[in-house]
Amino acid sequence: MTQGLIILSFALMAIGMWGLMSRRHLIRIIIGFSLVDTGVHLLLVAVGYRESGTAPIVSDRLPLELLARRGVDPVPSALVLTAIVIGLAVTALMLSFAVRMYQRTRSIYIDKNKELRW
Amino acid sequence: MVSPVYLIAGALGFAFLYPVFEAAGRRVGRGAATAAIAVFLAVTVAWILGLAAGGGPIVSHTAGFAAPLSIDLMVTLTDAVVLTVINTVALFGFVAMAFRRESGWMGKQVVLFFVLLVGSYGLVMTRDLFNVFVFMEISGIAVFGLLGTSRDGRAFEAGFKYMVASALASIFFLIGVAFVYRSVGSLNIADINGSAHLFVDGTAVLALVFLTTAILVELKPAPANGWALDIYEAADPGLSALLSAINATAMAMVLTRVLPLLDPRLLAVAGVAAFAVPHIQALRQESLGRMLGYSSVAQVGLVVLALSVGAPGVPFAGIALPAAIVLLLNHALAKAGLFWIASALRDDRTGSGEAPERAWPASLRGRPVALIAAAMLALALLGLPPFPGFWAKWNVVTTLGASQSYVILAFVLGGSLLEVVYIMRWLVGVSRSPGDDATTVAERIPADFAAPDDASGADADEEGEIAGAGVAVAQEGEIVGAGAAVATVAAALVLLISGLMAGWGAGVGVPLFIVAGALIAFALLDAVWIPVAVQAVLAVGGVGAYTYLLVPRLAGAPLVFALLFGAGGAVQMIAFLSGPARRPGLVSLTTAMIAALLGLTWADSPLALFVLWELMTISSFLLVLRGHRGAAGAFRYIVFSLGSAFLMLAAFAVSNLQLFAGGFGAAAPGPGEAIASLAALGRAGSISVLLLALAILTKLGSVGVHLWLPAGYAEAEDDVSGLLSSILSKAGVFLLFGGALIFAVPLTPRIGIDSLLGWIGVATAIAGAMMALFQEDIKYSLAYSSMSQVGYIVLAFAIMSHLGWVTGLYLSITHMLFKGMLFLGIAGVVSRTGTRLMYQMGGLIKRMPFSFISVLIAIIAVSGVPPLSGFGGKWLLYSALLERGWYLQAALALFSSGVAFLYLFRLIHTIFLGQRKAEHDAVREAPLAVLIPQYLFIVAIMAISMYPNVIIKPLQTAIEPILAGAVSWEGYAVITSLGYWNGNAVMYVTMGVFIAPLIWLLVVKGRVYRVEQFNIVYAAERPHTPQSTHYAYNFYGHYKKAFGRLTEPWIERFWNAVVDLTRSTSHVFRSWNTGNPQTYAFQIVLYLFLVLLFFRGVVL
Repeated sequence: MTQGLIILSFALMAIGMWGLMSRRHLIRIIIGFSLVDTGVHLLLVAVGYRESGTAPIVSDRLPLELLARRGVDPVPSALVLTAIVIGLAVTALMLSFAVRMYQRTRSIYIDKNKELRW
Repeated sequence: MVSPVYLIAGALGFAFLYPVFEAAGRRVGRGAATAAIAVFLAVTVAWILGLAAGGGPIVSHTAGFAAPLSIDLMVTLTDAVVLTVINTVALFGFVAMAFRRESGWMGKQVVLFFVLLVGSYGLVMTRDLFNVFVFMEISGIAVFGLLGTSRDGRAFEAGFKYMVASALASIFFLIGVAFVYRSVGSLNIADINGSAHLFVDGTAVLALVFLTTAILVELKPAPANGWALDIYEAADPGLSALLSAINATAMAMVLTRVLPLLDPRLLAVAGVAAFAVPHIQALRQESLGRMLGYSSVAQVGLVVLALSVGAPGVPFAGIALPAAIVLLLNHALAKAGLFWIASALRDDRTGSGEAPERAWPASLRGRPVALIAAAMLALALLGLPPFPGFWAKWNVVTTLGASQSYVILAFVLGGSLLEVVYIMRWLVGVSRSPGDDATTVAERIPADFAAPDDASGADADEEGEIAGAGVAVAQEGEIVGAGAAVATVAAALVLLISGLMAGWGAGVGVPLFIVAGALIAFALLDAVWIPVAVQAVLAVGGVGAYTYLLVPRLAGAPLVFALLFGAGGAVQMIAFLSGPARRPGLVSLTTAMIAALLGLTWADSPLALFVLWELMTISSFLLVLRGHRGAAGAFRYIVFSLGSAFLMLAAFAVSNLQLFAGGFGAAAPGPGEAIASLAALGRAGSISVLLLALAILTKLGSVGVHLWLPAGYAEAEDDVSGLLSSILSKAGVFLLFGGALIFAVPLTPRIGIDSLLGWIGVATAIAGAMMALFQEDIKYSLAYSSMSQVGYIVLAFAIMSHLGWVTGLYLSITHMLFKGMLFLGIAGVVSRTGTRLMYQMGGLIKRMPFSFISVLIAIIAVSGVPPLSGFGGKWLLYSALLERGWYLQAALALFSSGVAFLYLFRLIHTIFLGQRKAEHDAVREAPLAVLIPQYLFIVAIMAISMYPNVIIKPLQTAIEPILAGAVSWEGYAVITSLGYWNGNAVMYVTMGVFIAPLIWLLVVKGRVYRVEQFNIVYAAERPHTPQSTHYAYNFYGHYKKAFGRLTEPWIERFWNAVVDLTRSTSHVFRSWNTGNPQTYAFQIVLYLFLVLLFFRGVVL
């Protein structure tokens, strides 16, 4: 299951990277980025996941001694939450910049927006 | 001490509070923000003081847990220093941005700035891997936000690219974090470093690959950094300053955290690529922001490289953290300062453009504060002494040499030279004389004669050309606000003070402080409008006192050169008493140059020697730059000089500092010991001697590397040219004699370095003389003559015998005397006639008799005819050459002397003899202050000529410890194996020989037929231009027909081809940065694969 999640996450990242590097439309590029980002989030979750584990809440059903063996690692989940928030902020900024680029050059295509080079 | 968490909380808290302050008024907001940063700065300074006093690092376990449950913040002494640098730049940077007149920062910009600070503090202090990611994103988002407020619409495009790149880096980082957590089970960096044994294969290595790539990509390494340059180009320069100084510094600290896990060879390869590639790309940049951006990414590459440098003898074993930190500090302040200047100037030109209007930035002349700050920051950026970067670079370079990493060494020095080219080109651009189009590298002949009634014809003509060149001076209105000025000056001062302190710590204190003191003291006198004459008196006194104090401490060759530099310099500075009362920087730079030269003579370590060598180079470069049309010459001069300095640095590094191991101080090893330790180094020893020889030859302007020399000497101000040509040119000679017998080390069993030196000396003597022969501009003629004379000195040194060396020293002294006289004599003539072209003069003997006598005596002395000192020099030279068996060289030297006689004859003939031009009927004798030094030198020449023993005997004693004597004395006669020279007798005989014809000439004077001005007949030849009707124009045209081929500018063409090749290479490299974010994304992925390959054992 974990293995499958990791494969899935890398597949998502690959699709996202392909989109990011091959599409000309700015919004599609951003969607590509979002896909990669989601893939990474899945990967993080997969790292912490434990086969047939349970929520890492110490209670009668999951005493402290069993936590290390049965409980799902809570740290990656916490990391994912942070990463999702940051990903959201970056996506929003990227979209807003895309809008401003369109306003400036009247083109939403990346190859019409490369005035700066060399 | 304050807990680290409060620093982050404070910055974040203020970011939230700021709108409240601003609501009370913009002034209140700005003041509160400035005060807040000052408080942060005070906290970090307190940390430095506390940590330096002792005790472990300051740790803050958040939420009361211990690691790995908590997120640790830790501040070590290094971190405290880095945070202080960040806060210093932040303070200056905020002042620059918030207090500027137009579009000063307010509102969200200030808030975002504080968020950026939060991110940077966090990056430096956190010890948790995931937390690094968070702070990376925080500072990233703050930068994106600030970019979004930029005035330049292109900033959005740049920001988008940056976001794509930084998103990829974050993704790599997160993947790395996930795998690291999977392998180690902790995110605490100390735990991870402690589990280094786990990172051997499988996912753990993959984790490391992703992490390393992510951190490196955040450091914007070439060749995967095109997006970064777009930001530097499009962003407000004030923001670029923060990005380059604060962000890069904080990210570099992240790299240091994971160092124990990394293979230093990876850092070395990445660092070399990141340092060298941007310098190549930067050469063709026409946008100042982008050029500085390339320099920024390169400097960060140098830091990465420095982190890989190992302890001496053990390649890449240890970690040179202090050097890397100092490099970061130096770069942060210097680069930020340059960006602030760029923001204040609003002039984006670099001097690289093809089109004239794109070429040169506006001159900053007349804005002394900005000019001085720009120069200091540029020098600091290039890692020149006394600024902090120099000391770090010296450490890195010598360690690289000691660990025999010669390829990396070559890349570091080569890259640095490229940086010199483009940074100095900009500096020359902003500090050139207004009206100088910075193209003058050879004499300029105006298209036509000026009207006869126009006394200052040549000048008027020049002005006309200049007006056409369309050169502008930065106007008052182009400087925006006082904030940038305050910030820039403060950054420059911090750099200067910390650099001087580092110099004190490195044991180069006294000579360095004397140079810096002279520079600063006279600059302050300039600032309070003390006239040059008063300054000159003080300077002559100061130089005299320094020399006087130095002389008892010295012996041998250093003593000879100390007298040459000190006395020669002091006497020539008397000429400054005439001329305008206000010449900013003149006395300051001249005194600093002479003080640096004097410092060379008692430098007691290779470091001290090199520092003073560089200071001498810098001050003389700025002196040349003061010239009316000196910019192009100064640019060539500094590029060749620093190229020479880097060769010397390489020589020191390769030979493990064995060259001049103890300098020339009391602890200096004898030449035997130096040679023995060089021999122990084997091939590296002889290669380092060769490098040193090349360095010295470049500095001496030997043929092939002489391109800087003509314009460098000739385009300096008239009374400075003499100092450069007569004194400065002897610095290289001094090093030759300092190195002494090491130059006798054979390169291969059949080729000795000394015989190479000898041939180069002869070739230089001939080439210089031939070039001097065909110049119309007298100063160019004299400059080439200097080149030629120094060629003789090199030849004499290369003979490697007692007699040869006595000759070399003797020629050095006499050349100083007569070249000083000639240049000063000519300075007097030029100041009165207003022209430097010989055919525009003539017949001045009656108007300027004292100058005539001085020039006459000088040329008799130069040309080597009896009875004056030059004859002695030539006689000694030929004797030494014949003794060594160098017959062909002797013949060629003789030929060159013949040519020298021709150009000297032309000089005296076309200037002082013949018919006087009508416009020169009223010229007066040269000013007294210019004549005094000449006549002091005449006294010296006469004394040497009459009593050669006075000078030659001490020279012999100077040489004796190294090479046993072969010269004996009988009364006033010098006796060698080939004959004898009695200066006294020669003088009497020659005077008799001259007086008899003179009397006869006076008797027959009445029968002279006087030629009128236009008494010229043309036989079937039509003159093309009016000046070609003048006999003095193209004076040696007939020789030119015969020998002209020898003066074809082959070498100029060779170097032009080098320049063209470099420029096209630069373009090839920069084309890699296509401007398309998808290309950049591809490059980053490629970078990942390269790192992966490296970890898989495929070392590049």
